[in-house]
Amino acid sequence: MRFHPAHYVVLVIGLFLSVAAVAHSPLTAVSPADGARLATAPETIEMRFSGPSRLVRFTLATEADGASVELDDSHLMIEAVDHTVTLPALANGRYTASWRAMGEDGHVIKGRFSFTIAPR
Amino acid sequence: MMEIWDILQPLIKLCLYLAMFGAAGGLIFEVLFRRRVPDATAIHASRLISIAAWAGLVLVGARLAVAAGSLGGDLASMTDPVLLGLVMKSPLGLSSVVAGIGFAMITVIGRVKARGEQAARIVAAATVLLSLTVVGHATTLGAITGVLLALHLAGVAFWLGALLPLRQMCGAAGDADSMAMLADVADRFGRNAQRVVPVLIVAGVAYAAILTGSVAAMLTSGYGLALLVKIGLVAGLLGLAARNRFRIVPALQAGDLSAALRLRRTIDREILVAMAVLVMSSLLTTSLTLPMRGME
Repeated sequence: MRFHPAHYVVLVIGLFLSVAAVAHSPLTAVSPADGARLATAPETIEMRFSGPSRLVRFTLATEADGASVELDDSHLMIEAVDHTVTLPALANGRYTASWRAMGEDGHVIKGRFSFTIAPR
Repeated sequence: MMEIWDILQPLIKLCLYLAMFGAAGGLIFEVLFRRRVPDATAIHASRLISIAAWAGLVLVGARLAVAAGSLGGDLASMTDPVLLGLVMKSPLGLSSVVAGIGFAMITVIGRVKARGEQAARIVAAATVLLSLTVVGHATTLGAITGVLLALHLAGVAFWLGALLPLRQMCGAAGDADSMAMLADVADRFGRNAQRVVPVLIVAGVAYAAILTGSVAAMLTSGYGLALLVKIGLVAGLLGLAARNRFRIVPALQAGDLSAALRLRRTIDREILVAMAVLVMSSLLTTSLTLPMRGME
């Protein structure tokens, strides 16, 4: 089979996508932890980055209907290693947090994590 | 969840590498060999440098817009002044400004004939390459990583910048004179490469060792594994370069006309492998997190 330039383009894009799929989060710690099952609703979300990072976007959505939880934006645009997001009272259910930040080296970093609130 | 930014960021970086090594590497080739190549090759090299520099200017702007888009997570963010301002204030902004100045210098050098032209070429090439040392992983681990990266980039530019002009010379080598010129330039390039390539490799390996921190991290992290793939590809590139240096160039010097065709074919393979190396480099610098800093 003779390779056409388009085959290389497809290969490269496939490689970019597969690396993006396995790339690890630059978060070194998060509370509630990814996949945590909590008996009571957390009042805050704590995120620790591996270096000073500026949190630019943070959303929290319920998995049931995808609705976003309304948050103030006092936690955004601050450059720090540790970030705290204050939460309103959360109902039972599974939540997914998505975030985007800029690292001190200029890299855009992003990730997501989930937790469930389910009284025992 | 995968996003368009996961493709655009490494893709823009890959194109920017091509523009940087095409422009800066082409200038290095001009400085070293301009008086030894046929006019057609000199014109070809100047045209490539100019195209690479203009493409570089466009790509620098595109990289800023894509970074802002990736930061905001939607297309509208690409033109969001707040996000663009944030990107401009970051090392990525500084790197883009430095690269933009370097590319702009190159576009001017191509049009102006003046004293100090050679020095201007070296300064412009250095400016473009140094822009890569003020952003990314090199900035977070001290000055030593910046110096190692600068040495590595200079070596890469010397090597890659010569491939297309040499390829053009191979295609045009139809008589004894052009064959003699090709043999002379290929021989001189090879002799220089024997000094430059060890520096390139030692600097690259030392840089990688500092970034990954340990052999275990190299073998167990995505960053380390991608780096190993890159090192394997570079080993293949060295094999092709050695074939040129020790088999094809002596045949060229002996006046073997078929050697020009063989050199051109090997250069084509080198270009292909070099592209794969740059694909891995673009992933290492945009999509993968350093193991010692992440949660590996």
